[in-house]
Amino acid sequence: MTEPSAKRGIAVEQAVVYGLLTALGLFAFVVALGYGLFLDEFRVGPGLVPAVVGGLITLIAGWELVATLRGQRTPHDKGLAEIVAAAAEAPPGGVSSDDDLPGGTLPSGEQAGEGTSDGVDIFGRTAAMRGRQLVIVFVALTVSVLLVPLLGFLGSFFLLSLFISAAVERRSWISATIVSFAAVAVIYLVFVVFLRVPLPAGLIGIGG
Amino acid sequence: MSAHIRLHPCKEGVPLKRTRSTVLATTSILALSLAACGGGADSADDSSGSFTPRGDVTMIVPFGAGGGSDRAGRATATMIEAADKDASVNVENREGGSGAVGYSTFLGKNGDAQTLLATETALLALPLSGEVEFDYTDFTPIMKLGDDYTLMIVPADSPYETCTDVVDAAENERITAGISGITGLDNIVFTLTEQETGVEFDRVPFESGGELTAALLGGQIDIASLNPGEIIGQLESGDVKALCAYSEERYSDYEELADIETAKEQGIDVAFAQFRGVLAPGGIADAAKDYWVSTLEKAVGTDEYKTYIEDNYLQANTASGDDFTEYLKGNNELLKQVLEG
Amino acid sequence: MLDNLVLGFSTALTPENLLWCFVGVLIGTVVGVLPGLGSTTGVAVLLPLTLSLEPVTGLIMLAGIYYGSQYGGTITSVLISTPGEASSVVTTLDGYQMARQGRAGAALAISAIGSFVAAIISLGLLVALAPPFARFALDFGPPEMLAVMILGLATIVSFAGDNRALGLLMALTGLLISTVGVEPGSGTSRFTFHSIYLLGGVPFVEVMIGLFAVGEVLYQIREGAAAPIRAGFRELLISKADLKRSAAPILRGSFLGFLFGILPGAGSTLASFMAYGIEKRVSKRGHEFGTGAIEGVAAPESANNAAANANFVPTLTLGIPGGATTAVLLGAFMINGIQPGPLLFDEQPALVWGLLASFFIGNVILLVLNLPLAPVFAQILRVPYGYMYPMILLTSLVGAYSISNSMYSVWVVLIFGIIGYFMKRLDLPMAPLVLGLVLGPLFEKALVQTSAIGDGNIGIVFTRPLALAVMALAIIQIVAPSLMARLLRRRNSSRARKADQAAEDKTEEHSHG
Repeated sequence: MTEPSAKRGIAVEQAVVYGLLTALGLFAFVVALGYGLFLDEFRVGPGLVPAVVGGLITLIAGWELVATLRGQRTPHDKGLAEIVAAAAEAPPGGVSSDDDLPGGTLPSGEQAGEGTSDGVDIFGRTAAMRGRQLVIVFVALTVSVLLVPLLGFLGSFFLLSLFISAAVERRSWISATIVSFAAVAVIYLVFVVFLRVPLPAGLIGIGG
Repeated sequence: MSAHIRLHPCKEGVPLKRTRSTVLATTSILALSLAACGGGADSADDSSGSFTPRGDVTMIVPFGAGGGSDRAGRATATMIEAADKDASVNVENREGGSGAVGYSTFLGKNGDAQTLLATETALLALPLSGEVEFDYTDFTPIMKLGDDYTLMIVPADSPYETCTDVVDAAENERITAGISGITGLDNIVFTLTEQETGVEFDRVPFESGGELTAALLGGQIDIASLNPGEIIGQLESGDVKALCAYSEERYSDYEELADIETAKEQGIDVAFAQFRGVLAPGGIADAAKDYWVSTLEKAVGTDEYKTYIEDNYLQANTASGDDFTEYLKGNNELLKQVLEG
Repeated sequence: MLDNLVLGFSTALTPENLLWCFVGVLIGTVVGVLPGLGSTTGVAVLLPLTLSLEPVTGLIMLAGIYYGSQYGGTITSVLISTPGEASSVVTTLDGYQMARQGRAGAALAISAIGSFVAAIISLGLLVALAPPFARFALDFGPPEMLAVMILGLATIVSFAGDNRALGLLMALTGLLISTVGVEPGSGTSRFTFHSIYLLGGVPFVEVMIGLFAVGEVLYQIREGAAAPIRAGFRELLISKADLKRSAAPILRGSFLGFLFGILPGAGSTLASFMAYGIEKRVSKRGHEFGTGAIEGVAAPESANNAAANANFVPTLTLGIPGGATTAVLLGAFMINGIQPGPLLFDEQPALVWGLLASFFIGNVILLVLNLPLAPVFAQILRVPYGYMYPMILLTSLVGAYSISNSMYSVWVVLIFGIIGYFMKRLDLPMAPLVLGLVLGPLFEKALVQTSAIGDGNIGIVFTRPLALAVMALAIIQIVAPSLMARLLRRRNSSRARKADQAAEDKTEEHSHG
């Protein structure tokens, strides 16, 4: 069902990554030329290593990009992407771990029973839901780092933990609060009290 | 700790500016926005015009724990605590960018007399490299604690006995000199020697005194110029020998170094020191400056100071307050001449 | 010699020193478990706390933190694929796979045993042969180090997985990232975009936390929560077969680790990568590497522990730090007013031998502490991932911040977290990237120095016997796999034919009978 689209999705991402790497290599190569490849008497200059490395990256990533665009790269011979694609389509059991290789002693029997179809995990989430979750968690992470100057390090990460536990992982507000508070308290004791790390306190000054 | 921080609203603004500065990748923003916060932040500076630090004082060390700068910072903290029994000093390592991160953080503490910084030659060398947005005039020099000169070192089996021998040899053959970085003290004295004598040394770049010592012992380089504290172990064991000291005066306070002639004695008029000192942020009230200058003047009279100087083989040339500023000015000119000339 | 050891043990076995050794090992383990706090940061952060102790006691405690955190880093590598430092990156490859298969207990136990054996072997070598080894290390000048770095980069072929080009691409990317910052030779700042934070380069501990810890969390969220791993108690214990399989890799890893450890700068990371690469070559189960082979945990763990101890060879005999952590430890010597150098053994015998004896004691404590605890630690995996990952994220970010007390580190972790996610998703191998990132600066420095010493001629590498020998090894390393593979294929195919023949014969017999 989802097989072709999942593979196509991976292929698009691959193409984007190789494209970015090609551009990065080219950029590094050009900039590095400006640093000077050699000093006097052909001594290695500051630009030599980045120029050579950048050039090689451009070549290899460019080659992979072309190969991907021509459809020669997906799925990988035995790569993870294939397993991922397979996992996305197959009933769970294997969905839960990226490496549920054949022959592993993972007690998968009981999981296989829980799974239904459409790649849901043990909490009954579909691939699309998990994709959304990923974005939410990452945005929440970024926002909480941005909030550090305002709320302080501990304050802002208390909120992060609370948000993830309660909103993303759907735990009750009470247990989420308790767990987040405990986590922050432990971090405070270990890092601030014991290791004396000067965590930023923020404008409101929660837990410096 | 948190209680103390709440007393200083300006201090808490710092992480915001630093975060933003990474995004915008400019330090000037940092300087500007924090300057606006300065002045009023000095909470302990009451109307009577006197200043005493309230709560913990922070001593920023712009390098990692265990290094020379860190040792200086920690020793200074102990000295200050010995000089003023009420003071309590916390050392904070803010490393990165060869000191650039620490100094830039400090720039953000403008007006906050609760913060000090353990300074050394990077204060002058970093601005000359053109990569940072501060120079020494942005801070309030409090006290120069001492001078760390270098000795020209060769392996024990080297044919050279004096620095003049090395210079003479360099006229005809290739002499490889290990240096610990372009702005390193060793590169500076080698450059000065070249400018003085007209010879040329072939530089091989290393990254620390330890690496230079290994290269000397392994016969990879001919000469190196190292702080006495870095090489004293090898000197005493006889694995290397010191040809001359790039200092104004001999190390007469140290028995084991007293016999080493200065470069000047050998006819090479070069002396250059890495200084160690204490800075307060710029824009602090006069009362605060006076307090720190007088406290540090007391501090250099303590036994803790003496131990620090002796353990690290420094020369105890101090200069307080405005004298320190004058020293920095002169030193900066000299450094500019070396690095840009 | 003997009286030195007696002196050492009598120093280390005083109740006070014993206590602080224990405390150091314990704190070290905890610090190592916290993502982001590796041994270097751990020792640096905790150094001030030891200043109130007697010098020898303080140093014993710091050394305890050093090797304790090495082991602590292994715990997180195995359980949540988050290496505490670059030298345990390799451990994640098979250790984490073992954990996913419910064999975390065995993985942790074998690394405790491997580390212990490596520690005892390397300490024996250290005590008996430190001065000649130190002398040998000095012969490794820039040209030799250049050859060693090429040898190290050549190990990438062992980590590239199915697609060599991708492994190479990632290694090159790591190398490129490592060129950011002030160049050692000329002082030029490269790719810094006028940011003072980039002057010092992209900090690799933060990169590792991002790639491994945060990247893995994001990946797990996308792939769906893994079911808690419920392994029976029996599976958590290490079996006799495991021990037998691991014996040779542990021994090889220990000696290899010691050799790399005495070279200033090259250190534990290279040792662990090389040990893994070699083991993958020589092992009968080479093809199982990467899917949870116990040899793939035993070898690198022994190697990095042996290297960590061997780092003390140049540190104690010459006063030249063997690695980042020993550099901080040297600083601790000096803060305590002890001048490191060649005379240290003569001037401070009680201190040096006490410290060395405390290594023995500390490693015994570690083993006694960790063998029974391995199955207990493995129980952490019973916690559902959905409950665990907010904690992993939190500690990763706080750990990152505490490396240099800077939000910059936190941002680096975040950015590389996203990169790590895509690398996992697209099957781009991470180990070569880490190797490139770690070896990059060392490689470039050696290159710049060699060309300076040779006055523009890098060819001097081929005129120095030691460098030439190492270069030969590097070339074998690159060429051998394809040769070996061809040989093996031929042998295998003939063997397979024979096996088929035998099977056929058997069936025939059966049918006849």
